[in-house]
Amino acid sequence: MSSEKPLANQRPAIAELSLMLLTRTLPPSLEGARIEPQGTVIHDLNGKPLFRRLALTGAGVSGYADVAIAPELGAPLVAVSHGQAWDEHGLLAEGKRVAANRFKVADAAQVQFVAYSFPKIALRFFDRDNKELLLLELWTWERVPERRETKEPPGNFERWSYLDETPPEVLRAKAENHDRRQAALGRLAERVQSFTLLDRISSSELEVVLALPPGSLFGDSRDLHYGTHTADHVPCYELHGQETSVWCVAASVQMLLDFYRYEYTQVRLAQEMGLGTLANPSPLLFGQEHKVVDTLQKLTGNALTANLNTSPSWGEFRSEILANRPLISFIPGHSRTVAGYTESGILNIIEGLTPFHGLLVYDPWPPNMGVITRYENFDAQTYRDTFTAHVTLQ
Amino acid sequence: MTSGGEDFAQQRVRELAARVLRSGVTGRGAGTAAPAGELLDPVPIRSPGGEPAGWWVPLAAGGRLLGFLQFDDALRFRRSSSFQRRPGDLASCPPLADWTDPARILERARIRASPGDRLDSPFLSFDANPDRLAWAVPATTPDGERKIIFVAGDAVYLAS
Repeated sequence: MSSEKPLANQRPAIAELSLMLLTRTLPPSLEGARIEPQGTVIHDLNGKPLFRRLALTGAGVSGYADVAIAPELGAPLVAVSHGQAWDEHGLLAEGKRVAANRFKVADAAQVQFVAYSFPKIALRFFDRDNKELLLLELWTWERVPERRETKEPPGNFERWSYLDETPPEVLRAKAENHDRRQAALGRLAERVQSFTLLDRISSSELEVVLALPPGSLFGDSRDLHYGTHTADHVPCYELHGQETSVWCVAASVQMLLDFYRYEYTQVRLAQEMGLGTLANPSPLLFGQEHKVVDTLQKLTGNALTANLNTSPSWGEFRSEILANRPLISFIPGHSRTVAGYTESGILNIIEGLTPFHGLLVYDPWPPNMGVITRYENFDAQTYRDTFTAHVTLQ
Repeated sequence: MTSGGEDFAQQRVRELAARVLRSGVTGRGAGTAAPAGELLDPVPIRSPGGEPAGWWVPLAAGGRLLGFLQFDDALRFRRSSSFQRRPGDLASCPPLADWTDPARILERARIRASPGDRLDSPFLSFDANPDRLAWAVPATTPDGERKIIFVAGDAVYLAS
């Protein structure tokens, strides 16, 4: 196979593998998996090198990673597969045996791995004049038929060239995306001054890089302050545990009003929202969310203007905190308040990767205590409604 | 207590929890003023119906529960929560046994049990949402009716 050794070019893709492990996009079982340095070059049907398949090995690990050679694939790391081993020499031997026994092709001058219908791969056998003798699909060892003379899209078992048949404007856009990502990942790889990043997947390598110096992991964080000045004391917010097992809404409203120096008991708030009494409490029923808005406005004499949003977004949480305003956040079956956020600095290093989004949550559960959650993984939570409130000058 | 099949996941959660603490995400641990506390053994969380729902990793110091880390069933970090209102505050932290000692939890559950009810072993669960963690104590009445008693610290109530 190919004798190319573009290890430097592979480094960004390998850094991405480690980053995916760190962010748990890949299963933890891949921690420490060795990456075969040279790999197998997979060609496009038109003959140009398309990507390199690198075997992943280790205790209990079998898999492979596909690293782009052609930038038109759109990203340095094209695919990762775990559970199926990549054995180039075994596949070649098996393919040659089938070619000789079943198709009487025993004297090929060259054999190439070819993405005959990207990402499906076949072995292509050439004669001495570089003419194709046979195209055998991997694993099934079926002969891939000759190309049809038609303008119809290719079928399930039909050859087509990724590089020649993808629209040029799509290839251009993908190549630009690849180059941006390659550069960004390259910057990350440069920060890891360890050779191990080149030959194995290691989240711990990145962990060190991303966590040091302390705080560098977080590119953007803010908690509620006393005022809007950064020097004001922080966090300027207090936790209240819910006083019954179903008064999470009352406790949440209490926390938000407290921030604006309106002191109400949960008993009083429950009365306002129809949540019963301490001895006989009831939850806020679905469909009665407007009572939160009404209560926030009524009990502040309309000094606060409240709003209900049924489509919460990260942007809303962030902009409200930046405006120094707490939010009430409903999740299925529960209510809490949000008093801060953090956004991982990974974004500053790797463009296009999802950073860690965390919310500082003042949660009234468990009853009579509550907890301060620093942080809640925004991407692991289901958000139902938010309630915002801002001061309205009369 | 975990079954044999959970041992591997428990070990993995222990490693993840230690890593989360080290990363500084929680405001605890290396380089921060807040005491990290000691990470105790991860406890599996199950829905009231018994389905796996993640893991809870207590952080304790001086017989108090400082806080905890929570992971979902896919071992994804869900949250890091603290009972401390501010660094060094222990008064706001519940006794560790309230949340980790099955005997104490069972004793609490008896407050809401009726005479003749048979109580089974508690398991860590939640009421309505995994953020509303509570120990579930299955109870069977003399008539064979089954019910769940939730114990969340000093709050004890019947599942609705």
